[in-house]
Amino acid sequence: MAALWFLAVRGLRRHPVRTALVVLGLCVTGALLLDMTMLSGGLVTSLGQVLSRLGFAVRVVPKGTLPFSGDAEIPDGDRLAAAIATRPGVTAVVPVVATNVYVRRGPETFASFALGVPGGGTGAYALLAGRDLPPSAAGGTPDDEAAPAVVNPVMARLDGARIGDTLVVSAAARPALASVTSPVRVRVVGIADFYFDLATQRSIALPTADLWRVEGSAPGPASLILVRVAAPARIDALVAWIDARDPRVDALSIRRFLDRAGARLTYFNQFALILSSLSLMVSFLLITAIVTLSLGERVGEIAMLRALGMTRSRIGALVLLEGLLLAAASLPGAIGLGLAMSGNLDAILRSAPGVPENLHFFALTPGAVERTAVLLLATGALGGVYPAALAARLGIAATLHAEVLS
Amino acid sequence: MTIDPGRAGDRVVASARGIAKEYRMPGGTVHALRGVTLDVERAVYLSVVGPSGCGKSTLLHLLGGVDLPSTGTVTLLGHDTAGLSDAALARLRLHHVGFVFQRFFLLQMLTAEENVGLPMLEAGVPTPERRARARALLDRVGLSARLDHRPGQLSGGEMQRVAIARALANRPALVLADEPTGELDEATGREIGRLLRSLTQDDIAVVVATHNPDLAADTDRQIRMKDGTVA
Amino acid sequence: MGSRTARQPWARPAAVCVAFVALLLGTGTLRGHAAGPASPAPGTDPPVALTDRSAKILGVVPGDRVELSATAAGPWRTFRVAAVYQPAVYPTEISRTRVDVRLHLADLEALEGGGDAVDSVVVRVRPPARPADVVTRLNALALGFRAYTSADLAERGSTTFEVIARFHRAISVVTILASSVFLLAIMTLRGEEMRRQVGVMRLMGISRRTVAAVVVLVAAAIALAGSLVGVGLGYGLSALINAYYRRLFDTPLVFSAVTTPVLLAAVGLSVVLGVAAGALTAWRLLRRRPLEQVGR
Repeated sequence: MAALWFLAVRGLRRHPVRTALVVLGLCVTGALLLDMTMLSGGLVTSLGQVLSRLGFAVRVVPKGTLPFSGDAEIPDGDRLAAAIATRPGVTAVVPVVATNVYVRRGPETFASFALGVPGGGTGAYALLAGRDLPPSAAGGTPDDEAAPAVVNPVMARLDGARIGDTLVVSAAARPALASVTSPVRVRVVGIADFYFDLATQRSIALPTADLWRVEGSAPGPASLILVRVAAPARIDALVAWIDARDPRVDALSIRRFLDRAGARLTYFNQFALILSSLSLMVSFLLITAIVTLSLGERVGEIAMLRALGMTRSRIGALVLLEGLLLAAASLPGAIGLGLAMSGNLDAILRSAPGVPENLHFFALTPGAVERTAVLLLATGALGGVYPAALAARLGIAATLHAEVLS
Repeated sequence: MTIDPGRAGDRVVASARGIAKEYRMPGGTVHALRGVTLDVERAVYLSVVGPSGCGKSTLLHLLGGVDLPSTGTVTLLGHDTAGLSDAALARLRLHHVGFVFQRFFLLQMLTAEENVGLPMLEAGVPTPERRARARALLDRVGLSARLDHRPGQLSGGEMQRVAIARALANRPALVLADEPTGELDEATGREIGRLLRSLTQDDIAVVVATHNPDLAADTDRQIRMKDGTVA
Repeated sequence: MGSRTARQPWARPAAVCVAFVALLLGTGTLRGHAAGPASPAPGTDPPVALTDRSAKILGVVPGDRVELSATAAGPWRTFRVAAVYQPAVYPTEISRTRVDVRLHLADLEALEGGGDAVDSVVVRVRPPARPADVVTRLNALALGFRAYTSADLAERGSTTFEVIARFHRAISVVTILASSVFLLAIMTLRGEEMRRQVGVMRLMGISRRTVAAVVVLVAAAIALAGSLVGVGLGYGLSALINAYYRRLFDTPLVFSAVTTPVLLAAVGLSVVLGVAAGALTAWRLLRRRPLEQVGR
């Protein structure tokens, strides 16, 4: 093997410019391969990372939906939440109401996403400044008092909402008319990160009872129920229990959530598959072409090596090794370039409307790098198969004779 | 493949019995060799002489196990070459046959020392021993000052001397030289001839194919060929 | 045909009103029975129209009954499926699997219980009035709504596709880069193969210009041949992509189109790259003296 490595490495160093160009070309196709590997499943991986950080093991949603993906609600959400809270291993249950509202600050009115939560410290958002909401009182804040509210940094930045400001929150039903139903005065007590906000999305959190007042709806329904579980081993059992108890809902563990979210990202997975295949094909063609063409230059040398005593299989292995080495040499550059490109490509895709700020399309994982390396090396080896077969089949005498004549 | 030591000790290193070689071409069949019989003994400097196309190179290729006869038998160190697998033939050549070619066929990306060490590298000789022997061989051919030079930095004569050193790398029993002076001037050609002659002192059988009468005249025995047969 | 009941929670009328908008636009064709009057006689169920996909999801056909409610808690009202139609296809809705229902505005308002209220109004403008002028006048009324032209809305709704287009352009830049390097590597190798031939040509007296032209032509020919094969592959792949995604999303939309500008750009760029690679190779070849090139 030492002889083969020695000859293969020296052979590639013989034409440094050519070898450098081939390696550069493989770096580019390898980078594209890495990016596509990162893209397929990148959003799901990114989502999974965010979900795991939040600490909720189970999310209960209206059947067939994902959290906040539509207007459907869980009827009797509060009762279901109370029942879930009695299950073994459950450490916290947070029913959340989500809706769109209008917020008025002074003369300005703007639309906002609104969360109704039982109180502060639920983990539905992360407090950045100020203080959190108090526990939601039954019936909500008295009319003569301003309800507490937490807003997101976008509302603070775009609309100048500050801690201590008073806002008026009303339902989104009739913005055309100056009069709105059930407007509620709120006082900003804190600023928080709502995790899945879009870049220009305004969000506000109120005690659930106060949001029901804004909506003018009866208490009870929830848009989503968040559940914390002490032991991961209990998650599946809890999910099965919830599904059996109420067929109008789906209980999603993080794995099930990601599977369902992943099913909606078919376009990116398939796009990634197509481009990965194309980049592998281009790499294969490049290696095959270069190794085959360079073989044509040195048939005399090959025949000489055979005459000296190198067997056909060793000659074939030598040529195959050249293809493999080309691919291996391109790996570091491919990974570096791929990482750089993925940043730009991720920025392009994240500029699409409706993409939360905390999510990324391209997720670098050890698995992605490993898969890219294996695929690229396999392609390098495969690219050397045809020229290796040609080299192994060379007739020694005929080739030597032809070389002399030429 | 194990070489029978008894066979390896025979004086006859290679022999041909009634060998013929045909090549089927689009325009018909070419009879490169017709019914050649000869023995090659150790420490004998043998020349195969004849005009271009008479079958000299073909005869050397068959004797060295690079090609197989269409009919007849070639025995190399006691082994019928037709009965050996391609891999076995390759091992036989690696350990017991050295080749010197008209076009030198040195690897351009290796130094003189590395070119000479190549057969030893393939044979698995450890690095210290390989380097020592390569240097000794290059010293023997008068190129100890050119160890680190690549073929592009050597003259034709120097390249051929490196090729001869390479042919001696694994202590062969037989050295086959096909038109070794074909691309060299007269003076250099004489030098190469003297170097080949000196190999017989190591009990090596040397067969040189040439159309150079001066080179042939210096050999122990001349086999004249014409139209594929021994004249 | 028996009557079947399907029950779906309709929490918000907003989503349903999109159907109303579509109805006003007059898109889609009706299939099956025609819809009934806006205010059906007492005892008869008011009509709804479903898209073909929605009917498949719910498993209903014209004549069946469905129950609708504005909230999950009810109250539920029964409607008769009057028609199943094929809607106009909007690229923005390609992967949505929601159920779309169309009903008369009065029925929807009654269902919602909110009185006379809509989320949007679509206006058809009779020439010579211009939509942009109408939008300006409406917005000046400051009644708490905003008006947009269809072009504005289309532009806003196309943002996602513009992003996808930018993404594809970025990918195409990368593939062009890889192809260029590929071509350069091949031409470098070809140049070395041609070294001796070029040396002999120059020794024979053939001018440097002629030699350079030959090399550049060879490179351009390789690039052109490659691009033509690539175009063929592109057509084939495009057809496969359209066939696959149309089947996957059950839509007649075109996902991939090889247009004349795309074709010309691909072939043109290939030839330019080929000429550039050939020029570089010719330059490298002609740097050496002829005797050097033939190995003397």
